Amino acid sequence: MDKFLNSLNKIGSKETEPVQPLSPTCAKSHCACEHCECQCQCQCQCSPSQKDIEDIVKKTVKEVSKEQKKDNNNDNNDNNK
Amino acid sequence: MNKLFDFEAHPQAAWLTTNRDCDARCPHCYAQGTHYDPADDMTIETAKSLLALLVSIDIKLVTTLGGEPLLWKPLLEFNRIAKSLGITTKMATNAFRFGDNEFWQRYLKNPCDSVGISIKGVGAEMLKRLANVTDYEKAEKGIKRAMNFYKNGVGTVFSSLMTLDDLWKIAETTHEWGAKTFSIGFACATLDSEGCPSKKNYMIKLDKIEEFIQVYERIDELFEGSVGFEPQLPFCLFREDFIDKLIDKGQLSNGCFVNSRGGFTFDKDGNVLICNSIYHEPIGRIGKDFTDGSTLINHLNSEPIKDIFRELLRYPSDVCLACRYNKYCRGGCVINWTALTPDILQPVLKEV
Repeated sequence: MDKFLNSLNKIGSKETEPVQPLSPTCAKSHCACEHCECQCQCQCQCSPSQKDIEDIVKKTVKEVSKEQKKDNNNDNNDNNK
Repeated sequence: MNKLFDFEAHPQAAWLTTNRDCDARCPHCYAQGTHYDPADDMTIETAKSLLALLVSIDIKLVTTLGGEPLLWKPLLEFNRIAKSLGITTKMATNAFRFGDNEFWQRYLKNPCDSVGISIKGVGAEMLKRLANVTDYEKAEKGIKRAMNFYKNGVGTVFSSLMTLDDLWKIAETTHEWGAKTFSIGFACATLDSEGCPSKKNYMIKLDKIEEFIQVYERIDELFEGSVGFEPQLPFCLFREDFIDKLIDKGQLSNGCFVNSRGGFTFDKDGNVLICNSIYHEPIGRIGKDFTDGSTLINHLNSEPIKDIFRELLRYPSDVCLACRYNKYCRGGCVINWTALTPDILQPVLKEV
């Protein structure tokens, strides 16, 4: 850890107070930066409810099956050419 | 005493570095130094032990990180177990693998509760240039599926390899796809596996900041204010009116859980890291420094660990003392100070 700490170019102050979070409005787009933790600091619970997830899963599974059938048909058509 | 100023840990969330493998190769990513080794996976046994530990200290919010967590083999089993323990799961992902029909169908049986979708590029040429990804069709399909499923926005990292036209195109395209929100973070300096600064960094060139502000303002208009910005840099490098406007609009993020000590990251062996970008040396070793939740908290609140945070979180320079942003800024991401020097600071002085 010393190697990293020594590589910091903080040559000035010995002041050591940590930053105060700005508490930004939740953008519902957490974890998008490469550091991933940063935008999660508001730690809001903006994820969908379990009921919402179950409903979306049902709907999405149907859509995916349709899409796969379509892909398979296209593959068959390509093979028949 | 206010815990925030005592450098005491008061974790409310945890991050699990589940793997280092990734299906993108973004040159600015901290994972470059990990060599994306597919053997560097967390075992499900380690993940289960960590979930039990977190439940014992009442942490109910866990985010999986990589690498790319969608490539972590036990992901779906992990999601299932976490849910049974009442833990909310999040995932930081590029979403590409959702474009695989067979995987997508399996995923839907055990999805995590929310995702942060990181956009690496839009259009085949841009994605190849910025992330060396060749299967654009699959990537776009995966991103659209994730956006539609989770009904959330997207984010991107602006690096010196990305042009401002690229940034605008990413915002415009994802808006067309239905993204309701858009967040931008700046690429940071990275460290190698020894903890030394990487030879190259892809941080924004400081002379591009004014142009960036102009593009940001267009994106803000496009998304009708549902935009977030994480500069990772000292606020004084931006125009004062821009920073003030973003603070007023609730669009500016500063610092992370390293600053607030509001969480911690586990590496694949279950050791505690300062963050997933500072991975060369854990600050807590499982089995040695801690064995369960209470010994972990005790360790994180020991004086040697607090001293590390005192050193990390001090102002970059005495000139910051008079700056009116100092309580929010602290110079941005600490790793960037391996590449920056305090002579760039132009503190916004307090009115006397």
